[in-house]
Amino acid sequence: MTIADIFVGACFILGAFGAFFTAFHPNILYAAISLILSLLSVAGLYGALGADFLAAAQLIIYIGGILIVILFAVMMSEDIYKKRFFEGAKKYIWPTIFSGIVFVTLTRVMMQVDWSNGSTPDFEPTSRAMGWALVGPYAVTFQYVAIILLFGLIGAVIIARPAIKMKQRAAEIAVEDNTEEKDA
Amino acid sequence: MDSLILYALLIPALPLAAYFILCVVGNRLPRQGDWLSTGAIFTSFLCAVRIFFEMWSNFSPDWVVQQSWTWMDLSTLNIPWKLDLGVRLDNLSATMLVMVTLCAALIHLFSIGYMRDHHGKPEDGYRYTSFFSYLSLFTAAMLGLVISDNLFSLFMCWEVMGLCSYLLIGFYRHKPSAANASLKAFMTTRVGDLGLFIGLLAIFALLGSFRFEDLYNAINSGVFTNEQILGIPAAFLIGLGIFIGTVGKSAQFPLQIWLPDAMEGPTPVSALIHAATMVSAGIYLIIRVFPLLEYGGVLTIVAYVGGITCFFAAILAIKQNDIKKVLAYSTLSQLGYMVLVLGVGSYSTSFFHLITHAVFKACLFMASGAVIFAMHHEQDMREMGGLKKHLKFTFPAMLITTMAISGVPGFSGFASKDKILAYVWGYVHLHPQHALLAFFAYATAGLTAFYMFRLIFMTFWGAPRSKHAEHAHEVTWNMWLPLAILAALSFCVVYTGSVTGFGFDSIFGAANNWITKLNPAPLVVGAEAARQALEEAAHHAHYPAMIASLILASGGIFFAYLMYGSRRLSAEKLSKKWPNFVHKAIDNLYYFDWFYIKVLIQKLFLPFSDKSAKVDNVLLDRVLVDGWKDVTMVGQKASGIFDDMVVDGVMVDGVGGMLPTALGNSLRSLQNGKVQRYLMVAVVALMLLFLFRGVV
Amino acid sequence: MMNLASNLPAFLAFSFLLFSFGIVAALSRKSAIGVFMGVELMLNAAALNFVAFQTLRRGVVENGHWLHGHIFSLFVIILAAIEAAVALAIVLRIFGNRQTIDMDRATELKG
Repeated sequence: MTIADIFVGACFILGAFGAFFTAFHPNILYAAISLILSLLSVAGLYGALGADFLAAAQLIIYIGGILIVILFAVMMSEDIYKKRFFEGAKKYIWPTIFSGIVFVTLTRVMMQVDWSNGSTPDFEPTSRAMGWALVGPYAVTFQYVAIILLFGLIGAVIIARPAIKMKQRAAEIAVEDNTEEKDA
Repeated sequence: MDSLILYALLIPALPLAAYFILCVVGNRLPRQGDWLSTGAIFTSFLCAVRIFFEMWSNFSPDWVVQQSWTWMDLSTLNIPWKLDLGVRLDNLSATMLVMVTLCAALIHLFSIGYMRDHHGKPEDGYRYTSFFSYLSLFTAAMLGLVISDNLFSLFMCWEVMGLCSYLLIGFYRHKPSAANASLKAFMTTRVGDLGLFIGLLAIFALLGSFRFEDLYNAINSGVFTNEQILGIPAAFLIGLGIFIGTVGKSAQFPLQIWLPDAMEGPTPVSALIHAATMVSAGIYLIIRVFPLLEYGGVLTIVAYVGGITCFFAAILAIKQNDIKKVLAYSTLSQLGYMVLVLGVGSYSTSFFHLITHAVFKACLFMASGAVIFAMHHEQDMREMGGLKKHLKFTFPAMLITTMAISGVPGFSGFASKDKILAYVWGYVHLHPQHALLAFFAYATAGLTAFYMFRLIFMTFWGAPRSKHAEHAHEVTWNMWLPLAILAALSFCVVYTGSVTGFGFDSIFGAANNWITKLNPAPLVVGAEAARQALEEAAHHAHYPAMIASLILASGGIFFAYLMYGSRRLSAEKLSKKWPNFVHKAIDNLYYFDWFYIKVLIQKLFLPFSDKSAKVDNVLLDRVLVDGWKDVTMVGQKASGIFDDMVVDGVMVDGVGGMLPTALGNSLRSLQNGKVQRYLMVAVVALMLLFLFRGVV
Repeated sequence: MMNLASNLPAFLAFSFLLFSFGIVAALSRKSAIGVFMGVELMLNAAALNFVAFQTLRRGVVENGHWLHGHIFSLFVIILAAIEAAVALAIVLRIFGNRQTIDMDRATELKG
């Protein structure tokens, strides 16, 4: 039982709890916070697995970016103060059953595999390897992802823009034109 | 096909075609088509003469030309079942054809004159055309009967003749008496037909065939030897059944009641049906099946029936005042003679008398028709008198034929009656226990002469007793010509080749006495001896019989002259000498009508039919039919409920309604628009993939 | 068994657990953001799976082989970020249209 084991075990427990509350807690703010906890433990596990770059990326991008945005969204939505948004338990029955079955099946499949030749690996920093990989075999993928990022952002902006009626917009433009002509 | 057979088929076919044509377009033909039916029957006569000449040129007792065609063959492997119909031409049928066609043709000619009053009257419903069409149909049926070689087609034609007699007797539809008479005729002959039908069926059941040829062969080969029906020999029962048919059709005792009433029909009808053809059909039948009667031992019964009929009918004829009624009872009596002599054992004599009787009786009826016509349809002889001055053609014809029927030598009736009396005498000589038959035969001979000459004297002699009689005038040529022809044929030279009938002078050579040389049926094995004995006895009895008949005939004529010709004896005084019950019996026709109608029908049949109707009504109709209706209603209700609850409720509303609705509703939740539901479906699919990863 | 740090089945089991919880959250959370959180959980579980396999099977020492698992998880993280942006934009739009983000009320796809 090394430190690593205790650490990994703690991460497991925390992650499990976090995931549990993310799924089941009635209050969505609590769920968001629990998600943060869960993903933090995942980051810890990344670290325990020697993926230092990835752990950092997880912390910075995922928790520091995505989850903060989620937190903002949660707080800005009416969920946290409108009482009717507290979850109803009836909705959970079937998904719980199905996901339980999924989990059990996956675990049993996993159990049937012979994992015997596992060994504690050596670790070394992975940043260089990641960097070389990004411009090596995964160069094109990297570019794809960049483009997707671009598209996603532009799309998000467009989707999030308030809708303006065409006539109203035309009227506004007409007004602006008149104003400009007067000025000019 | 033999050309003779073709002629034979043509003979009934022509009148039948005339019937159909008259039925369809008769009204529109010129003169309403009387020439059509008369022409058809004359053509048939010519064909019959052709056949007769063929028979004459090959004269032999065994001359037979026959052909049959299969009508139905329903045989299976094990059970033969064939119905053949065909034509049989032999001495018997050839002669009969000539007689029937000649009489029918002459009667058609006579009808043209007699039915003149009905000529072309549309308001009358064109009854003139109907009359001739019925005559043609009747003639066609009779001719079909004569040429048929099997009992089946004979029976078919028999029935058609019954129908036609119904139509013709009831021709004067507006008279209730005529309608009753026609119905009576039909019903009475129907009773007889039942016996014939049963006999027919029994023959078919035993032999598998209706043909006469097969019947003769079967009798000869002993098929009937041990056959029994209900313990009685089959041949006896079958023969009796067929004889019952004759009893009905030829008006023998006890079914004679229809013949006198049948005089309600027009006189040509009486001539055709009740002299020449229909009543002789019965005699023809028993001549054809004579071997069966002989074998079955029915002949004694036949003889007694014939004897009773001829004697008692003659007694009735004495008291009749209607000229046609006298002739009707005379016909009954002569038919009795034919049946009697056949029962005694000589069918050829029966046939001889049949032919001669047909000729002179047809003439007598037509002559009486001429008399009636001349008397403006007055039929009562008490109103007549002194007509011999006025009816210059009718009187000689009637006198000649009356002499024929009375048995005056030189006439045909003498020859045939002579033979009858000879055979009866011979038979009684052989079987003295049947002496009553001889009494019947001889007494009737005398009575016949008496009443026939009574008729002559009352009608033609003396002073006219009514206005009609004073102003009577002779009839048209188409009425007296048939009389002349038939009267000419009433001389015995035509039949026996001997002018006086005493057998001294013969002119026909081998065909001498041809009419008695008929041999229509093969001799039954074993009866040879009996027949031989009969022939011998008759031969010995010939002269005594002739003398006796001469005495009786002359006695009868003399008495008739005394009573009615010269008015020496008083008929009234003589009749008072007889006791009252005799008079009453004669007047009521021996109470036969009373018995049949009052006792049998009203007391027996009608109550029975009432009861049957009641049973039918209450039991069958109400309980079974209406009750069944109630059962059906219950069933219908149950079915309705079943339909409502099970079919509609369960199947239509449930399986067809709620089930799909439930299914649909349950499946509808798959697509409730909620994305999470769709996600769940995906998870379920994933789960299923995991679970059934071995299968997929 | 207690050697958790190099116990691949443990990591896998944990990732399966996370995945299952993610399914539950995605399928039964009432709010749209709750669903999104479930999706994030699932993504992370998968990514963790990759990294676990990479480290405990192939190792993290660069000896002429690449860190495919790590790279994959990196891309997962990146794409999760993009997806978060787009998803929240959509949520914003839904909120703008109907003043609510209740998943049970979004039934236009019904039928």
